[in-house]
Amino acid sequence: MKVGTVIIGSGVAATAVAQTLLKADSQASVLILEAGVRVKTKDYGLWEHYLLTRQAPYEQYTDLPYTTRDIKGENKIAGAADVTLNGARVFAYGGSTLHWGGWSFRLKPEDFYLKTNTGNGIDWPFDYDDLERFYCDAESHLAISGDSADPLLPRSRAYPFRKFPFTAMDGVIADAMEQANILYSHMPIARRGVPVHSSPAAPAQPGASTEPSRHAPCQTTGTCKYCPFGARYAACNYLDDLTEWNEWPGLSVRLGAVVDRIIIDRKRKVKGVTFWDRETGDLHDVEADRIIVAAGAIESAKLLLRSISTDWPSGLGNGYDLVGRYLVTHPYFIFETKFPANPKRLQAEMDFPTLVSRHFDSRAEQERGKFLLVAPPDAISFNLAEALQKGHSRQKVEELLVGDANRVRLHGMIEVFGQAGNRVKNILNDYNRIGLPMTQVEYTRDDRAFEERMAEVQSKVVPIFAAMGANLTEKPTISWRADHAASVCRMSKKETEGVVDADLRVHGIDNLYVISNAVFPNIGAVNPTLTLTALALRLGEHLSSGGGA
Amino acid sequence: MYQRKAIHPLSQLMSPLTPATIDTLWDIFVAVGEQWSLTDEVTSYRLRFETFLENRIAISPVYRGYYVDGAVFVTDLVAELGRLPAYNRLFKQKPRVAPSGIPATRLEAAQRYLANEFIVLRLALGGFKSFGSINYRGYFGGANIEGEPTPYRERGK
Amino acid sequence: MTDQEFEDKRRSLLVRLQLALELEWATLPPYLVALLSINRDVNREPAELIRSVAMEEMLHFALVANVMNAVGGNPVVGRANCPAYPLKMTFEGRPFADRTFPINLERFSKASMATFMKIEQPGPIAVDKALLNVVLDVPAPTIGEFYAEIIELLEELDTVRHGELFIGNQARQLGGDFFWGGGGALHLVTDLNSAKLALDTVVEQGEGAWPWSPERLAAAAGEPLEMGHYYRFSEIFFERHFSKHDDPGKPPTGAPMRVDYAAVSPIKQNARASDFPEGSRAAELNRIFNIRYTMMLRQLGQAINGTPDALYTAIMNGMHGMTSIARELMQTPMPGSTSGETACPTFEWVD
Repeated sequence: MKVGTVIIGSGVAATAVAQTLLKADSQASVLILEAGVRVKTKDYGLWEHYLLTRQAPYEQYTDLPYTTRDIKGENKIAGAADVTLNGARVFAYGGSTLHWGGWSFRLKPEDFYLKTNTGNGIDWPFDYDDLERFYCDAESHLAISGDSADPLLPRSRAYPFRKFPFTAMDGVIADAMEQANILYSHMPIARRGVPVHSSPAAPAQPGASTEPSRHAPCQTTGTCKYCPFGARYAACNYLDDLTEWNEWPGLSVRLGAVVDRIIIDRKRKVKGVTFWDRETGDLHDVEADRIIVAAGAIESAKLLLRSISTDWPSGLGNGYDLVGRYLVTHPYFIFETKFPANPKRLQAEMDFPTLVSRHFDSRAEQERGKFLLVAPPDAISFNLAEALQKGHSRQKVEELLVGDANRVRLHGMIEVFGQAGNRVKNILNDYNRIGLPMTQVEYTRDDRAFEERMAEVQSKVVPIFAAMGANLTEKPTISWRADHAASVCRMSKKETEGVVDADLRVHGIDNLYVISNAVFPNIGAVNPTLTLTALALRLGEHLSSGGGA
Repeated sequence: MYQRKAIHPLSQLMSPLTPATIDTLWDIFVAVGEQWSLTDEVTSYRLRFETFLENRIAISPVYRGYYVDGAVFVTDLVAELGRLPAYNRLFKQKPRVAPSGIPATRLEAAQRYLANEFIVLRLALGGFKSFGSINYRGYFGGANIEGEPTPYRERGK
Repeated sequence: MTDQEFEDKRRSLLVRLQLALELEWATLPPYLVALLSINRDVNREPAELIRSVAMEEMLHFALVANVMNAVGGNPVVGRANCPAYPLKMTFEGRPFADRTFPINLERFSKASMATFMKIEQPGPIAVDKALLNVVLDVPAPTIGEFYAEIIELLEELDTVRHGELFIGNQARQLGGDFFWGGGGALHLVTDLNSAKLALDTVVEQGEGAWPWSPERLAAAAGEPLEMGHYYRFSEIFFERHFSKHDDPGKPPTGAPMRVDYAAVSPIKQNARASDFPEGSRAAELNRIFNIRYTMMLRQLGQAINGTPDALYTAIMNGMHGMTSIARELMQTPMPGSTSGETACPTFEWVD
């Protein structure tokens, strides 16, 4: 089999690149290879099941927990024992956008200059201004509802859909932040909205969506991780659009195709991939003029590492021993304490956050680690269904609701910096449930330094709680789950410093690209998906306009 | 893209619930409202309740057994104790710690797979409004449309 | 106008609106069957066109229901008025002047496209009304005239008794949350203007031609050509797109459209449940289909009678569940057929 382009992976990066290539050339030959299978989306019965149990049908396609003394799991961790993979990513058609929350932030200008500003890591080979128009395109691709008047960042086009107003529950935290002189804003969220009407008399802002879509808008159902409407972007629903009518004769998508390695032709050229078919167990080779690795941060790095030849004995693009290194993720923290009485009967009415603070996502905090604060949709913890299921009387339920039995929470995430020794590797010959080689994570950190930093964070957050009449004394719970794993194939100007160049082409190879969070030199304080989508659209444009192979 | 509705192969072979069973299950569902003095109009949920029962069975064939036996169990309990005391036991006689694994008794099965699930459904269809909010997890609150009231309680309003 | 006259006319209005609702309902199974019979590998453009028409018919159904609820009516969706096929659209016992032909549940074909064009055909057309009513003197109206009469009645009653016509509870109506697929907005009906807008939308989307005058053409420059259902079916029938410069009264001369009438499931025309032998796979699947169809209709009826939220379940659970089975049925051979026919859902109400 021979094709023009092979894309490995079927998540948002693959979808955005494929879409761009096909729009530029309707006859383009593109083969998407996905290791996983299809998960049924928008199924009403599965939605009811999710509502009742919080179990979603894609959960079986994530990593198992690490092996413990008694229970066999998957993968290995060396170093800090809590960079977990279980639940961090989804191996299925549509990738991790099947389970993501949709928080869609742009990086800030200073994030592109981490080295210049702090001495840490390396700078990006381009900056915010270069990426800005792709951010606009990405916000359109993901159908983001956001505040186009938010002054934090310069933007050349409006969000496609209007912002979600703050909830009554947000009010408690917003008021407290105001008292504490902390700026806050609307969460830019991947929930399709309703188009606005544009007329010559009252034209819509450029960028605002004016055309209705086949895809349904958010109906604030509150079951986002399995949205019955498909209003939260999931790549599979959009890949389906591309394949529904076979209108792109050169496009094909193959599921259950586990890419084992990239076939190397000579030092500067790759010529295809070898994959095995889950159904039959057979190995297949596909020849391609160009290969785009869009397999998520960890798997993209691992694929390069296990694609070896005499020219590339340590793995493709790994001449400087950087592939798989500089692993970072976002430590995710939750501050929680007792909430004083709740006379307004505030309860969770939504399932995604509408209020966020980027006050500390700033140049001033960059050296120490900038951080985001998020008011979760259930900031006040009262859970009505649970209260009834426990068998409490109506009166008792009322007491629990309005009294002082509730907790109040504030979430956030913080930037940590890459270290060469923090890395991912293949565990060859030991395969996970999906059929991919397992992952070895090596991660150590300076626990004391991190504790100190978190104490600083806490000191900035205490006044917010105080302004709510709550007394924050306990340390936060912190998760190092690898949802935002990144930097393991980082972008660099110089090939001695990174794995891919400014065009995401692997240094030293003419026809191999990586589009994944892996290419971010650093991730700032925010979720990476919007930036990933922008980079993917940019890569698609670059390849379509004759750049690269 | 066309995707087949998710349905367990064993469920496809099953006959529908009898009207008598559905009526008993419906009575349990109605009783949720009585138990907690919910103010929503329960009769308007009947058709969606029946769809819910079908879907639960379609996802997991064991639910047919839970429903058939649960209905018998509750009917007998009501006959033995009277309606109110029977439902008090069903809804209120709960262990301190929610059980998991194989249910130990028929009461526990009825509580976990009927009562608890009907509570979630009843609240999501509209029962939650009795507690002061206007949107809820599982309720179709509506879209965020310019010029129309926000489909949830808004800050400051 | 006396109280009695007002009441009589209001009742007549409600009867006509109920029929309008049934007319919209009745077009949906034929359009959906044609759509679902299309082989998914080809015929993309015809399928998208039919789908867009079907979506707008659902919008029309909702708009008519809103008008009915606005004037204090109770729309009925039930066993008694569930359309059966072949269908003849009649008013007061007589076929509509422009609907003397039967409408079938049948596969996508040149003949069915011709029928769909006739269903949506704009007036005025030459109809020998005398031929239809050899017994009675009173002429039967066309669909267009039928809707015009409804609008006239609304105008008359609202003028004569302003404030006493639009008395319905607005909470019974379906608002903007429920329709997002394009083809017009679903809006609430609160007064004569919004009622006329709703009904004009229904008529215009059926038969409206694109702006053909140079002025309107200039105003719509750069926008895709919007056209009524009639013209969309014409494009399929003539296997060509209309261009903006075409005369709406003549066949299209624009880009060719690929249509392959062989790439369809060879479904039986106007299948009834009784056509499937007891115990056969087709009978079983059809039974499940009809059960789901009936539940969907019941929830739809509920949605337009005071519980709008039920519409979500009707569509998301009902429609999608039905689509699954319909496709399976259309792949299932008709027991005993010698011509290779496959089965088709029969859209019958089951209690």
